[in-house]
Amino acid sequence: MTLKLEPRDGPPDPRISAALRTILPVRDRDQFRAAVLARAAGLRPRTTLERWARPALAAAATVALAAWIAGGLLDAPAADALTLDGAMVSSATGSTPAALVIAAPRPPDAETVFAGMVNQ
Amino acid sequence: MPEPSPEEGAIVARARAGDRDAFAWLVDAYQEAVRRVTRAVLHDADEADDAAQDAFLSVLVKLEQYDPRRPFRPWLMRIAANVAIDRKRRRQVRHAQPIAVEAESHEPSPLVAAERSALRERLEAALRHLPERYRVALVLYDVEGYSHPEIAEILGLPVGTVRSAVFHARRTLRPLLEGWREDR
Repeated sequence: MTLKLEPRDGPPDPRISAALRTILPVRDRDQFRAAVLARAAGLRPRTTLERWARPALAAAATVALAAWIAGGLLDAPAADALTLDGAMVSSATGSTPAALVIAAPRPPDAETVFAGMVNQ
Repeated sequence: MPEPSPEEGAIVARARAGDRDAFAWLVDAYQEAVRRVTRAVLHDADEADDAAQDAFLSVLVKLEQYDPRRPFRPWLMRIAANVAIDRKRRRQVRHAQPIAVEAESHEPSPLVAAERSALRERLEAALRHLPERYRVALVLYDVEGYSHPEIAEILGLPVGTVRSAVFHARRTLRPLLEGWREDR
């Protein structure tokens, strides 16, 4: 193997190295180590499991959201279908719109509520 | 550059997986180089050590971004240099701090102490007046043993710029080192 030396390349200069070590001393190694580790205790590197956890949670949330939307569409009752709650409200108040509002899986439509109040 | 330890890759991988003992090993193994580089940028020993601590914490946070196919030490040194340079820029915005004078750890004779102190002051002054990239390049080359291409990668500079920086920094310091003995 041929060692290729470029101009101005050379080994480290021992005098300069020694001088720099003297004017840039490194002391208290144990103290420094302890300080770094104490500060590191406040940080926690993410382990492989933790790295996987974030996308897994996001995927689970997406699946749950999709299932909730799909379930809402499939389970939505017909407008004329009365639940037990609706029947009780209807019999107590004599108001079909009130029964629909109580039985509805979604928030009441303002027009329905208003129409019911006008009819009353 | 010093020979990499055969176990270094495995230890970095363990630290990456959250093993605190492995991270402590990395701190032990590389604190001297990191602290010297931050010191070359910041001068003040305490501030340089704060920056070196920040650098290790930054490494801990960024370990998952580290590409294990690449050498670890230049990656670590790049983070250390950047942390120190950022800190210096913020400090210059806030205020200018005086350079602390190191206390001697032992008591030499008064003559030796005076001579050493004078030489040290000259060297420190010369080093302070060098451009920042010259100082860091010089420390990485002559103390830490990195090659010019490695330093170029660490500092994000062209190899020719690094080579020139080391050359000019050495040329500045050498006249001051006449009579320097390594046992000082």
